[in-house]
Amino acid sequence: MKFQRKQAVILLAVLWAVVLYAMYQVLFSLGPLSEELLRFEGDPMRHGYKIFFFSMQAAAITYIAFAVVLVGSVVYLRTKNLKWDTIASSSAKVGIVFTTILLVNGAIFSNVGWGAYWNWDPRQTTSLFLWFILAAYLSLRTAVDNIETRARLSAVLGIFGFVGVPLTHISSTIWVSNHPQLYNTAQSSGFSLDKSGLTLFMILMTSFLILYIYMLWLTYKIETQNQIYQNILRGEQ
Amino acid sequence: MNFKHILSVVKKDLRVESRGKETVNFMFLFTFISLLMFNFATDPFSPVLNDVAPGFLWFVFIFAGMLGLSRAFLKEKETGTLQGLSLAPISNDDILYAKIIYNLILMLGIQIIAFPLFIVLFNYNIAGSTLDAFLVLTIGNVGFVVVGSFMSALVMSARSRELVLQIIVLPLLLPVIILIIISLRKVMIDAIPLLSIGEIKLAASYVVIMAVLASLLFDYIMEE
Repeated sequence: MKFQRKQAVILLAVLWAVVLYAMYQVLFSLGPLSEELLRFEGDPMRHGYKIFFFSMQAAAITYIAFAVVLVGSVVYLRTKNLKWDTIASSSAKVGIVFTTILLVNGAIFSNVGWGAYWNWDPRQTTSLFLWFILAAYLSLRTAVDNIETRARLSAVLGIFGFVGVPLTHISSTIWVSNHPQLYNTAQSSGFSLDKSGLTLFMILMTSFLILYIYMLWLTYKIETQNQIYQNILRGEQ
Repeated sequence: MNFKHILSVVKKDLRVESRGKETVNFMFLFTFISLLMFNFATDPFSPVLNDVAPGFLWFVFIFAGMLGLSRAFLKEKETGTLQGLSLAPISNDDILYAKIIYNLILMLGIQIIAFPLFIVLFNYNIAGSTLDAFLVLTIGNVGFVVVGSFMSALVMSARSRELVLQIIVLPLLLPVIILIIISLRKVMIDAIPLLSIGEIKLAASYVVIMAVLASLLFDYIMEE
């Protein structure tokens, strides 16, 4: 059975319902941060920590989008099949949306936790670095006309750009950072969730993942149609 | 990797450059002018200058380097000598290494002239060792040249290449740029010796990763 418009609408409606439910639960039912983690009386992080449920997912999807760009680029250079180039470029397009979401969420978190929307924390800086890499990748694609050359060059840049992902991931451990740690380190213990928090986290994570896959599929389809259209145009001349 | 081949390509580039001297002259003049511009932007007797000057110095190299780097492969493309170069019995990697070395020679030349100029123009007292500051700049320039030469080859077949080059090189170099500024400030203001700065090691490892990736992927750029 082919995935049609009707199924897509149903999928999105269900997704929205689940996300809205989870968001409501996160915002109104989930308890505040445990007392020993608060830094002072009236700490805004008491409820402000809930931004974690939205920025963490965006970060994970950003990494996944980068990984798809990497895989698509490597496979394209190996097989020279344009399909993989289209997958890589679609992933970059969707990825830049999620990176923007990540940056906005990060800025809100930063304002709540540290008192300024942008305070050049290593996490924020390296996330911005990821955004710039995707922007560079997409602008290189607009500057090359020949389809094969474009695919080859952007694949090389896509592999190069993946360097940013490990760097972003380890940024808050190797630099002095105020960002909450995900793992236990020498300086601080990792941030952990209770059972209901973890369930909501997983629900939101799955929804974000489905949304990413759906957007990737949609972009891939549009790109493919666009290529067919371009071929027809070129055939007529 | 054949040192004789690399050396011959470097020699060829240096000979071409020594005849026209276009790139070197432009780079030097640009460095001079931008140093002056930064100088006008600040009050020379203000104490703030001490904090911002290391950043100015590094940015001058970034901008001047941009000017020279964009010529590395584009020159070959424009004069049609690229085909000759790829037809020559030299492996593609050696061409890349040669271009990196050639660019590095240009950058070091600019650095040797611009660094004293900076100290004179800004009336700057380096708190740490002058040699350390120079070495930090050199490491930064190596990273800049490695990424820049590779990307210069990458954008050869793009439209408005000089513009695209900057858009691609600067984001990929962002970690190096930030780390070098931090280490420069540590050397020039806080007088910390070079080897006890963590950031410079991080920058160096990033440059090594970039260099390995560049030599692995260069074959794909040259195939046409």
